[in-house]
Amino acid sequence: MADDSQVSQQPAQPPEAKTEASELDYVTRREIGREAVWSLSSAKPGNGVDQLRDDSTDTYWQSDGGQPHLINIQFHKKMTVVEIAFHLDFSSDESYTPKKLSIRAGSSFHDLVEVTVKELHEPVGWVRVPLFAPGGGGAAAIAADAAGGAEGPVLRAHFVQICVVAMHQNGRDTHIRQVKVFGPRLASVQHDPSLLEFISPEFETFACIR
Amino acid sequence: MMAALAVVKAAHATSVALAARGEAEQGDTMTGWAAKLQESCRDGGGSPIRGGGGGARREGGGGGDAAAAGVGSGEGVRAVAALLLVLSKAYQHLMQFRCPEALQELGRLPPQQYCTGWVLHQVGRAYFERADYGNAKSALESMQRYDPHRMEGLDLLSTTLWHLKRDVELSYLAQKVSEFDRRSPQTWCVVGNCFSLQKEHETALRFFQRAIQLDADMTYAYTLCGHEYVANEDFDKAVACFRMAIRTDRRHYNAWYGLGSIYHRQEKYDMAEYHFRRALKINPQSSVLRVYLGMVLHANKRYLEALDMLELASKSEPRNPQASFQRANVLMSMERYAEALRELEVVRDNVPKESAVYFLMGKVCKKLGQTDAAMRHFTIALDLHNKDKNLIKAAVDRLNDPDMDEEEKF
Repeated sequence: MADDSQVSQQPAQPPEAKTEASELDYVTRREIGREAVWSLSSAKPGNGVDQLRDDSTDTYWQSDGGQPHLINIQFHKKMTVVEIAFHLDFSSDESYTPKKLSIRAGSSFHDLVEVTVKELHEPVGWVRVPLFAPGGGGAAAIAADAAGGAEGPVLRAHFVQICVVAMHQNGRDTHIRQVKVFGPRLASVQHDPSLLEFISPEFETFACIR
Repeated sequence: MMAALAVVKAAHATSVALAARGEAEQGDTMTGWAAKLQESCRDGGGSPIRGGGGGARREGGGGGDAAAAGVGSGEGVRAVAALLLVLSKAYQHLMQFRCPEALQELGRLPPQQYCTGWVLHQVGRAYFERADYGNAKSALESMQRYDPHRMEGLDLLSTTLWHLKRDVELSYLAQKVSEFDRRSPQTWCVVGNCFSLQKEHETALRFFQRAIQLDADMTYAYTLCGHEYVANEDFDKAVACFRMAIRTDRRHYNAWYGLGSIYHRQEKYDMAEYHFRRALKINPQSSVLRVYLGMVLHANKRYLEALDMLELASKSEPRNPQASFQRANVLMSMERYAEALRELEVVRDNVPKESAVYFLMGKVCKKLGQTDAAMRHFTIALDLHNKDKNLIKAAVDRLNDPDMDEEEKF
């Protein structure tokens, strides 16, 4: 049994590539974390939300209390979330490095549905987790949008929770250096969603003032 | 020499002030002013002035040329006065956004005056303000040729290239200016525009902010910053930027437009209307602003006003296909489908490769019960468009379902 689970785990673990911040895709998506209210299940003084969101990978959030360690991201309106990216560094955080992350979404604390689970193996650098609406609908807050594209329905939620389920080497507390939440980027000059984006130069010339 | 410079400065100030007040009787004011100009030339410490010779260079310390040594004579003074009169008239037209008149006025300058940095900058600006980016580009490029060290106007050139989507030329310009002068705020506007065209809005924002650091009164840098924040959908910061732009220059209509477009996106249509109207008050000739105002009125269900506004827009700028397109959109909301289709057919004949036109035609045909025609239009739209295919496909799927409106899925 034990062998079996290990084998099945193996293909689910792509080699964790080192990705720099510039490799995060800011062209087709945008960071929406600043529009949210962030809270943590626990934090060591001086290693809290500010350090988690300060754009510096030298500082980090360190939990300081009982498991599970949670990051709560509450939006003021229902948002489309396409990706969450974490900056983790096994080489300096060692047993503090998360091993298993669970991402949940819903409209509040009470109706969270697990969207995806990410298993990690000694990650160093950015770990990107693409998000899609969980199959079969789930909570009322998660709507399957048919226009979401070929990859699957997009995730729309008021509330996203990241749960650090386990650390490497059975560590107790966790370090996460950065978390970024991405939504889709809409065309900058498009106003009416029932119309198409303009493509001809004649139309684009008169589409905006700059 | 100092007197001549002072006069040029005064001319500058006067025409700006006139523009700000929006004086109607500019003809009289101008002739009276020319007389004053002549007087002050005579009184100005007796420094003799000869006409000709680079009098148009007002900025960058080049103005001294105008006062090149010469023998004092009424003829010389008259020549300078006539030159300054043309320049100031043109400048006044431009400040009031009467671009064709400004161009006409500047076109009367002799070649040795026309081919100077300042004049070509104003020519480029006049073309730019009426959304004639091709001509704006060539004017500003010749400005660069005649005055290679001029930094003013390069921000405008970079936005022109941004509109024209010339990423290679823009990136070359950015390279060149950042090598040439790293302390000029215009340089960083150029670099920012370059990144904005590549859709790297975060980086662009950093460069526009650097421009503001170098010159805290640079109105245009604030506006560009605001547009980047809009691209990031960070509307609060964008509003703050546009307000700063207005604070530094109340007549900067781009910032009023920026505020209007934010409110438009946030569906605060009354606010949007107010800001677009403010922008239009400053630049009453702009057909783009009129189209936006028409769209806001449409959204507020004031269809007849919207139609009038869009009619005005297409009259003032026949090249603008958006006006007729939006008219068709309004007519569709009013359920005047046959008229909408006629309007769209005209747009299609002018701009045959715009898939949004075919898409809207398809929707109109569906309303008219012409399912086959609708299908044909949708297919062409799908063929031309490479990105938004889902929207068209969804419309095709619903083609045989007459009860369902396209908009209902939102």
